[in-house]
Amino acid sequence: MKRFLIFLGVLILVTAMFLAFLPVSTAEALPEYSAQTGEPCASCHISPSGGGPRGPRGQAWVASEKPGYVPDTLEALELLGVELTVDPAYFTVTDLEVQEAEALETAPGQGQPLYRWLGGYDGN
Amino acid sequence: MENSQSQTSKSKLSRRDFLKIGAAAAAAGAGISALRPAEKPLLPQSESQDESIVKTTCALCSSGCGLDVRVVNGRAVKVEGNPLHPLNQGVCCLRGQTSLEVLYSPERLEHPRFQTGKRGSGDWKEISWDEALKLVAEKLAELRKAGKSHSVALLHGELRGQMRQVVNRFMHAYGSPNVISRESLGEGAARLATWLSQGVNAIPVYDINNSNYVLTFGGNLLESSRNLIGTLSATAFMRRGRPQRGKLVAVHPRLSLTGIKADEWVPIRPGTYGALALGMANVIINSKLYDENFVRDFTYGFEDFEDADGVTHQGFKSLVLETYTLDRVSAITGVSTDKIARIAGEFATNRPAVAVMPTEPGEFSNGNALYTAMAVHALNALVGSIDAQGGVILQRFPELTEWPAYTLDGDAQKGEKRERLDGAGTQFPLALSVYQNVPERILRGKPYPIEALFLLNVNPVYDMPNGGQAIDALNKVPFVVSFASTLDESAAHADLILPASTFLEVWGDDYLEGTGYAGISLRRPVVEPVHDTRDPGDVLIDLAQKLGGSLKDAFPWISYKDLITDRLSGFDWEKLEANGNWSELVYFNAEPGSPAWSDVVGRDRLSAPKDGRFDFFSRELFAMLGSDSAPACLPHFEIPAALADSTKDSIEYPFLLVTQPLITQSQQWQGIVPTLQESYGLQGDVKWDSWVELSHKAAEAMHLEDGERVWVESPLNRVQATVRVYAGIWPNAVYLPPGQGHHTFVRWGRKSKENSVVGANPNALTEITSEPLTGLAVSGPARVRIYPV
Repeated sequence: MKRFLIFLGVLILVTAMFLAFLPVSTAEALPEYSAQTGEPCASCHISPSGGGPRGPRGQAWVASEKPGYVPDTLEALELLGVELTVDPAYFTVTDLEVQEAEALETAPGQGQPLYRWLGGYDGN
Repeated sequence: MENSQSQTSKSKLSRRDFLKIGAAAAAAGAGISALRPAEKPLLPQSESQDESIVKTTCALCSSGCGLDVRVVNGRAVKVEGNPLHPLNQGVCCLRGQTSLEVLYSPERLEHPRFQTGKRGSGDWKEISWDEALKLVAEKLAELRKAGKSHSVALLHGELRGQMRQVVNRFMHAYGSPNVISRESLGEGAARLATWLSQGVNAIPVYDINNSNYVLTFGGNLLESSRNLIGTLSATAFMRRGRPQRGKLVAVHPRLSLTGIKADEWVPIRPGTYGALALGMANVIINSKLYDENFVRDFTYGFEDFEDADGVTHQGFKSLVLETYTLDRVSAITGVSTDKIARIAGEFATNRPAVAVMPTEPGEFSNGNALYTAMAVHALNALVGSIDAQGGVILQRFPELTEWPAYTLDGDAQKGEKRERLDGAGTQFPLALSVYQNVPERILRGKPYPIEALFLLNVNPVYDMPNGGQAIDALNKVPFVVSFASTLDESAAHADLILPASTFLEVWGDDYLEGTGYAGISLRRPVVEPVHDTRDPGDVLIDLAQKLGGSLKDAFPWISYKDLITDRLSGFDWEKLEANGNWSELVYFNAEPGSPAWSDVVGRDRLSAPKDGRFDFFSRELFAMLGSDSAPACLPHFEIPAALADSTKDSIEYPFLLVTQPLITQSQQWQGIVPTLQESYGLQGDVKWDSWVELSHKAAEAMHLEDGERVWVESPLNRVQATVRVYAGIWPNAVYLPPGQGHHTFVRWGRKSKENSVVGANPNALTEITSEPLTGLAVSGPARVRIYPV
């Protein structure tokens, strides 16, 4: 029995050595990149857990030869030459002016029912 | 010593042993090497083998994930997720994996067919497409000529991409107001609540990736939500993929897979989500944990206020403080006061937090659907999570080529102005569609007799049988046309079936929904049609050409592919085909008060001011309903009649029936896919059958044991199921899974025969009515009793 166990042990050892020398494909998502840049995997990859296709920030980081930081979204889009369909300034507040709430009023019928008004929206 | 020597001598390797080990290791190494990807195929490939990967978009649920389909010699052989698709990023769920079972299903209808015998008799005659389209075109032309175009109605389920507008456009140009969506059973509540409070006509999207606290009211977020794979991925990231772990809390009477995977399951009495949301609001306001700046500057109706006539109205704050006290809410919901207070505190102090409304049928349908959804959405406003990172965001859509203009001809103008068949806009002033009201109105001949009915991706006989009412209604309509791909229960009562191709055989598109940013996903034929079937889009375009008039002007395309390429002509078509989709990949949150804020709060308002304020008090409702309506403009809770415990019904039928969709349920191919049947009851290990979940207490009281066959009976009907005694169910609730109990087309499977029934249809137990104001479905919780077979 012991002889068999030794046989098995050596077999496992030799097999493990074989496996160790097998060519290993290089993983594309590397935790050290995360450590290097101080960013979570999701900053660069579309998949939050990392790996697979990269989002704009990841693409820009690779394109700029993997510096020590990941470009922010706007910088990344600029580096990639992406023309945004919107102006980011449109989404930010420069000088906040709060609109006063208008007094409550009833409105007479609008002439068409809601299904007509709201029926023609985009979307699935 | 002897032993020691013996051991030593035994542990020495003999030459023979060494050679044996060497040979075995070499053999193992060779075996492992053979597992490595071969650079050259072991067998020479046939020269005639034509192999490709075609990118398309799934249509088996409302998510619209990208698929890579491997096609060999013209046959689709494998489906995987498209790694370049932003929604699923290469993942393909169980349903997507069954696409080929759908494509090659022996249940599919192979040719158009006409029912020669009585409706439902099953006496079918296969006819050609030319004959079939001639029949439809002649009927539609005849009705139009007689000034009865309004008497044609089209009921539809989920429509993807351009198809929604194609259907609306067809019926509008033909001259009928009757395009009726199944939405009133499900996502209609979330859409209407978002419009009445936030002022945008949209189904909300939730930024779970960046949220710290996700609270789901009903539904089954991780099994059946829209954008399911994206939601699963985001939830995993929120909880395990980032430095700060977020918390997922699932509120439901039943412990579903979502509840199991969540950090906390909050069991609740069926039909009382609205009360819980208002009770939480009470705690948050009372403890001053709400976002005071946001509430002050960007909401309306929080404090009591005066209207233009100087009349004082109650605001949200005093309503919840006075009416939804912890003790009262605890008594209504069955959730302890401690737990309500703790969850509310966690929600308000772990921002960004988000409260999720379900879109699945039946989840809010307790008679309070609108106000329940408004109450849940109010929590998002209280913590400033409107279009904020980690909160509720707004799905944006790409700009496509304009639809060509057309003018309504005289016939169309007259018909299109008539009252709707379903009562939307008249009987139900706020309704967008009232699908479940159609059978009754048809039977009553109100507002006028229906002469022709089209069924597109819907199955009313299964969805809302109402004791046979749906069948009677279909039988009353002189001409019923179904676009079904299989002989479903409603198609069985049609005159004519124009069998639809599957999504793997047609051109089409999906708007990307679930990420917030704009995008489009392309659907394209992966294989030639397996049978003599057609895309309903092509059929409508053909009919429009045949009918002429404003219809011909509205559809200047020769095919649905032509329409799609025209609408998407602004995109780089080669890239679209190569990637299967296009998207912006970046979502910009609109800061409150920014120019973009007017898009996410108030954009689609009709009567209420577009002043960038989220309405706790819905000014839209006030404007439409009049000055006496103030109490109806705030989210509130009314106890569903079914919850009263002293009625005769409650004594005879002691249990409340809850349903909750599963990942193994395919909306349009229910019950037909063997793999989904094989894995149907993942939790209860039930296959090819329905089960009914009972609490231990209930099972004990009724002397029922796990695995026993029972009848589940409501005042309307009874069905059979197998008992599963389950700790994860509200004590006086029982759960029946939806999606089973089809009785006309399941014969493909090891436990079924032609025309036999697999499992039970819970809809058969439920009387489905409509909310008076909104037309949203009221379907529960139904009362049932259980007894052994």
